[in-house]
Amino acid sequence: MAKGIDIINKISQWGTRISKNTILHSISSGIMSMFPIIITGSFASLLSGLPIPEYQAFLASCGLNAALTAVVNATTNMLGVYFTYGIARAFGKELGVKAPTAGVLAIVAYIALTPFGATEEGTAYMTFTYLGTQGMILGIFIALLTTKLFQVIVDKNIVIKMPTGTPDYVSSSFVSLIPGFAIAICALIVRLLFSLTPWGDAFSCFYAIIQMPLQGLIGGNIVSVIIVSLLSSLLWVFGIHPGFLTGTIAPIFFALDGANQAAYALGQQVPNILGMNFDYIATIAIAYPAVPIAILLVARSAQLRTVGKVGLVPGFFGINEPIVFGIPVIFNPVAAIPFVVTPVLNVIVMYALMSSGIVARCAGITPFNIPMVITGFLSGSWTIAATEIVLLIINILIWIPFVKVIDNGHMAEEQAAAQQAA
Amino acid sequence: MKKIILLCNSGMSTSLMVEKMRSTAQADNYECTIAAYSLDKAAEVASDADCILLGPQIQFQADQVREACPDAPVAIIDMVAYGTMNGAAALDQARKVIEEHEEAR
Repeated sequence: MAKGIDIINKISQWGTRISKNTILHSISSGIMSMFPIIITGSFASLLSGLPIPEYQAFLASCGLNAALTAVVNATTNMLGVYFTYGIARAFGKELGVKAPTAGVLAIVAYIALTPFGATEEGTAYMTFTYLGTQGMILGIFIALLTTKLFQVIVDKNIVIKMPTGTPDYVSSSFVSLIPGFAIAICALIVRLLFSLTPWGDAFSCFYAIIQMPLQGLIGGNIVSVIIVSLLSSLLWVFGIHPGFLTGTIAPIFFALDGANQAAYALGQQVPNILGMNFDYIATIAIAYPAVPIAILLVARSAQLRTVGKVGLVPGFFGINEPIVFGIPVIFNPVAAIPFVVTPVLNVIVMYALMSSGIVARCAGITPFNIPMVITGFLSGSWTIAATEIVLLIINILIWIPFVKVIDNGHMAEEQAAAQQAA
Repeated sequence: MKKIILLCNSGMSTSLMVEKMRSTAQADNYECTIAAYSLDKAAEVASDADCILLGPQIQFQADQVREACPDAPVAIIDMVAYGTMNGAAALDQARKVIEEHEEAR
């Protein structure tokens, strides 16, 4: 046990360090702050891309498809910009930057670096290519750097001072003036420098040399998704919420989902199998409710039956604390085995079915706290919903023998307690 | 009127507990407000709380909460009580924490 506590302390310190890291925290909370937009966009993509011919004909006949595309463009295909704003605001909060313009200046730098196209008549236009999640990695850098620059300039007191007696809101708008110029000039220089590179612009360069490899390494790679799933389950076994871990990977997962949404909305083949959508379904939507169901099917002890009843509905909504602390899973090797194995199994099976084309790939909706089967349909296909049901049954069957062993222990304890009381 | 704040990663699982605690408090005629939030809202919502309870899954972040809310006592909900969503036990714990904190003052 002493050794166990030693391990838990080490993990805790590590977890605290990650969750306290202001940069990582700003990135994940900045992205999370755009949640309403992510969700609106994912539903608009779903509605616009549902592959039912009659439905698509109806959309086209009343012009709704153009309207839905406009919503997808305004949400999903602009996420890079919104994330940049959100991260700049969150990072500004950490650094003590009060001016709300700091977030807007990050968008200014973002747009200033975006490549423009030109029509034959010479009219300049912008494409959505790098405004969506394809631009988010550079967007993260832009958000952090512009906010830092803003803070340094304001802290060094390089601001235009207004004479005393100037109304407060007038002088506060002048505070952002010098940082604004500085950020614009930096963006200009960066734009010029990147125009000399073979990529032509900063977004194409970052996308090619950082975002693509990162997506391939973390998100596009089944092995790393399995490792993440193993790690988060193990953290739960030690009684630690893995939010700090998943928050760190979230940007890549959302980038993959964003690409899927954009393709799905256009009725094209969805490019990525993995992503937040996939991960939630495999590791949470199916694996969480399986445990209370297995318990209610076979357990007889009072403690487990209580846990089963209390944990059933929350389990369907992605909450597993009753299970983790009630069985308990913590420091309990018997419960830890199925707890770690089932999500990984679901990841592998779903990946195999999707990569062989038997089951449709997830359309990239954001499924947090949506019950299984519904998540399947929302992900764009009944085949995903059917896979969820089959995997749920398999997960329940895996849990049953372990539940029986744990239940026998609780029964013995409860009987002993009852005998003592009698 | 006592103010009890529960915190966890996103304020979801603690919100289950809040409901159970509220009904116990009502049955006991204990005057209090109970609410659940996510951890990063701690400084904003909990600095004037009479008691802050943490879900056991974020006990490793207890020091962060203590830093954010130096005037409020912070305790971690008992694991089994949390797992079985035992509102009576959690409210008991909160009341004890509040009493001890007031005595110490």
